[in-house]
Amino acid sequence: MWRFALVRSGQLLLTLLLASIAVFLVIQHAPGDPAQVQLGLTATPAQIAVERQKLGLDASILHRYLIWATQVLHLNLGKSFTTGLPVTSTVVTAFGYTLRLDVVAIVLGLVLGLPLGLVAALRRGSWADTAISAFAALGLSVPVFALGTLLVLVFAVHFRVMPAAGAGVPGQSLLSALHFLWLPAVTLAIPFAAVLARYVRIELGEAMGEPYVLTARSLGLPRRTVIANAWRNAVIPTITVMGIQVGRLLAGALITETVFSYPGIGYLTVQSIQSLDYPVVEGVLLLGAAVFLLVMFVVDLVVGLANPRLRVQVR
Amino acid sequence: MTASPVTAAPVAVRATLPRVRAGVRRLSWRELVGGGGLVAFVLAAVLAGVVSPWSPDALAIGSRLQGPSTAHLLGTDQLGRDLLSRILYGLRPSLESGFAAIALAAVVGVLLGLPSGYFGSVIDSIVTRILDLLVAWPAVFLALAVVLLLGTGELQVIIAIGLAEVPVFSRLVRSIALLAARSDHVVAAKAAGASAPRIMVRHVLPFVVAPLVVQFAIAAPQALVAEASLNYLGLGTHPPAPSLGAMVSEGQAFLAYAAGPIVFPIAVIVVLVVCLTLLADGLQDRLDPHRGAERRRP
Repeated sequence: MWRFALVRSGQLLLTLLLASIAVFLVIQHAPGDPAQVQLGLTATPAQIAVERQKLGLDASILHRYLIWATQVLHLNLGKSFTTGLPVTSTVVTAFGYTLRLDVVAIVLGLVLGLPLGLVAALRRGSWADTAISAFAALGLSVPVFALGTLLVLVFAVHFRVMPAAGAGVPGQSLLSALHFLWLPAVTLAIPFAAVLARYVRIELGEAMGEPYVLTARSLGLPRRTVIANAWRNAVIPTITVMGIQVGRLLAGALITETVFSYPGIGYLTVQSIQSLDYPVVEGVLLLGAAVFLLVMFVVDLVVGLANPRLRVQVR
Repeated sequence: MTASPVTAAPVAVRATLPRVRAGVRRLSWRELVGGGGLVAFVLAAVLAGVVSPWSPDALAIGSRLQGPSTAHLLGTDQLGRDLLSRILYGLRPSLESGFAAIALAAVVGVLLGLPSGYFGSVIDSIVTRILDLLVAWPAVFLALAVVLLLGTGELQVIIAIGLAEVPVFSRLVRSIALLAARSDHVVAAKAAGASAPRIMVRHVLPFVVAPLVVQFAIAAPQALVAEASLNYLGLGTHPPAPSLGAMVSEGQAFLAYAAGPIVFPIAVIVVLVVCLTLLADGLQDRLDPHRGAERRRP
């Protein structure tokens, strides 16, 4: 297990390095000259040349990357072009909002998805199974932005019981903060629950057909015990899928947060790209990649703990 | 049995490699409904110029945000444009970009995966590392990077979605090429002095076709959702050109006054995606014998 963890950490660091290079290259090749942006339109070519030197833009690309990477490691990403605030604090604040939303969404998704999958797996072919499968298929077919706007239409516009956008005011009570979270969290939770229900249904259904379950049944063990035994084998692939879905919440957050104008990392990403605010774009892309890769890393470790056979798959 | 390379493959390889099942089976209900729906949508998009009752850009400020009527079957949007016409025209970028993106992914996937699986070693490692980098990010981030570099537009959307799908196709092709490269008929072709590109195209590629078709079908609904999402975020077609995703984001501001401008485009997207998913399921049952067996198990 330690060897596996070590190799996997090495892979994580390598991918992080490559990801940082990718972000650097994208920003480098993005249209616009940073020196010109700093000085404004009235700058003379001579002034721009001096500024380019000051910013280190005339150095070699490797040199520039090293300077940039040092700054990143010191958490110094410069200031936002639009608000003038430091990028690091802007990104961290937004990430706090996203984290809050994602936690609620994951809890909702688990509470909804696991029982549905269980019922469908244990009552295969019943009307409940058919209904749950239909729900799962529909939950995966409706795009996130469509689901979000439909929820706004029903709960914010028609019934007027939920706010349509925003995250409330800072320092509000937990209850009123939750009030703003329900709709975006449900939007994220439904596809999550759909995937989860599908996997639990397939995996647990398969495990229930295994010979050891038949043996346990024929020995007259209580149904509860039999299911508990099958569940242990069904849960491992489910964990993997869950991890991948948690990683995907980041991507889902981008669209969901835009639908609800929720001030998280996704909304910030879209806003900063539309306003060509490169320092912020850099920040959100770096943080996004780091968080996504970390989640995948943790998932691999958890799966490795749960099932020793999968630890061998280190290439 | 002729001496074509595929049928000449030894039994062992036939058992391990996915292939098209012999004989023609009747169309399943999934294929009928999904395929029929898809044909209807493609026809609607192609014939948009003929079928549409109005021009998609015809403004009528006097009749803004109206409900369905005989003049405007689905009502009008915030600028008085006919919703039905805009949806019909809006299907075009959706279908075009969606399919172009997967076609791009399939072609690049074959170009990367075939040599990667056939030669193995260094080429394989390099390709795998590059693809790892592509899957290291959620697809939306990849799309944003493309938009950042190339600006917004339909072509950029195609590249973005295609890029995100490349690893899936490449890995699929690689895994099959890996198996096929070790089979006897390839060894025989090598002994007969055939060049590597010739072996890859004539003796390995045929095995890839059926799984590729299935993967194409699986990726299609995903690509469509991605296309609509990018347009919703304002990263795709430029206004006033209609697209289903952009219609929803434009209509959202006027939700309090009319639901039609978002409900109808969403309904079209969902039905289209469901059709494509059904078709993919049907094709998968038809072309992938392993999965078919699993599904039939009680």
